[in-house]
Amino acid sequence: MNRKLLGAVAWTWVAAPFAYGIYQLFRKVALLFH
Amino acid sequence: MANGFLDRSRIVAPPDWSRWLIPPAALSVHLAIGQAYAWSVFKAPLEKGLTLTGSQSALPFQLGIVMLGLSAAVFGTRVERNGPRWAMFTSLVCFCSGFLIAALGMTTRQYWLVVLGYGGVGGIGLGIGYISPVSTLIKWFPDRPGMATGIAIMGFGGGALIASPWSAEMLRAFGVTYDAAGKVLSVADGAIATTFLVHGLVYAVFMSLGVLLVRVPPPGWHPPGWLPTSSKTGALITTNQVSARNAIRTPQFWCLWVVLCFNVTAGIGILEKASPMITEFFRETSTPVAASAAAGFVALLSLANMIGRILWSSVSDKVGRKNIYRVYLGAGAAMYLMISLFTNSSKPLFVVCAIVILSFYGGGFATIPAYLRDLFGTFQVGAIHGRLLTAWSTAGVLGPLIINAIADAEKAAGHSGPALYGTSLHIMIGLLVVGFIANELVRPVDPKHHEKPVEAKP
Repeated sequence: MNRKLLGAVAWTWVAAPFAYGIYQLFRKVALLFH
Repeated sequence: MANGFLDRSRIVAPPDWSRWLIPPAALSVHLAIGQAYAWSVFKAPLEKGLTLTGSQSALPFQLGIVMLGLSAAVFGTRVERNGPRWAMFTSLVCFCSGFLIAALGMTTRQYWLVVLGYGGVGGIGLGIGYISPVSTLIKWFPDRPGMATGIAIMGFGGGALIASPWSAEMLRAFGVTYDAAGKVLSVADGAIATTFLVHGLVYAVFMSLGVLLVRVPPPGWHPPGWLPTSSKTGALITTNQVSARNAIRTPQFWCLWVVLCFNVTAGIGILEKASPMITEFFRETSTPVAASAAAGFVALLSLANMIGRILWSSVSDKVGRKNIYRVYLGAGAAMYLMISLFTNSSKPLFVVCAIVILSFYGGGFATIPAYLRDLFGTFQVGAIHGRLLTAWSTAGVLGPLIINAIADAEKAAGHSGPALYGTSLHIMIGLLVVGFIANELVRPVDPKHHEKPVEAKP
């Protein structure tokens, strides 16, 4: 497989759930300022 | 024994392989096993579903953390010998089997199977998985070892951020109901078992990326334009190699053990009681903290912990490992001192100090592999790291024990507010000062512990 494509797939694989976790975290952090 | 697909010889990278494919391989393992810190999501449903006490429902997690330290220490040398693909595959099998055994335990209502599966078998997966990418990352990034290991170890913190909301949503979807305050009302038959089953299967698929993608650099490889002699030639950065067996015989190893143990103890001390602590501190002020705001404060500390892992470990590549630990321990003690002096007079000051302390806590975890590499070389750095993780297991017991016992004693004596935590804060300052001294005692390793060049081939 093309190395750049492999890199894009690999980083997306780990970044997608990580982004979900960060989004959920910021929702909780927002409670601090309510 | 590692043969065929899992063998180290099968994963030597071709010349055009990008080293930037190794961090996602490492992250796929660490983001998965970091789920361990989200175990609390399962506690209340388990207590309701199986009529357990709080202590009983914590058993799988506690056994898991003990097994993490033990398996990292026991299997560290084998991880080095068999290579990262073997280690990641073994971690995948153990961690995911743990969930499947736990699912079986829930289906048959045999709680001991949940403890043995998640805590025992899964815990071995945690330990092997935690150290699996460390040595490989350091070899791929000799110019930035702190940043490289920081990425992976940040993943362990990130794993809980993902698993906590994800597991909670899944429990709801499979039949666990909650009231508005988050208290469990009912648990449908098979709800927890199905959740465990899905976790085991999904994490197996997710971790397989690491197993397939990880590569070790070919012998003699180094980044373009970088040579070993061009690295910072600080007295503490060695080009010699020390085996794991010899490393634990050096005073340097035990100094770092104390440094890690006390830095983690100080961080856990505040993390463990963050929510009740901020509530109690400001209860009698004009601006008390609501329960929702306390939850936001805990989330903010989790974020600081995670950012600290990548930020401070990357900074350590520039300023040196000994200096960064001076900051973690010295400035950390100063932050605790500020909290104890100003108590509830300023909420922003309290929050900022807690954020800095937690960022140092994360930084301390993430920088230690690079510190070990500086002192002992790359030969068996993963195995040495595994042995050092016993300091984490010790701190995991010590930190909560100190802060809970003292808070309970102060409460029993009729105290309230900041007075509940004053003594604990002073103990944390003392521990950080001892850690600071231990860091100051770190010197280059005596040459008698160095491997002969022929023995030190990776």
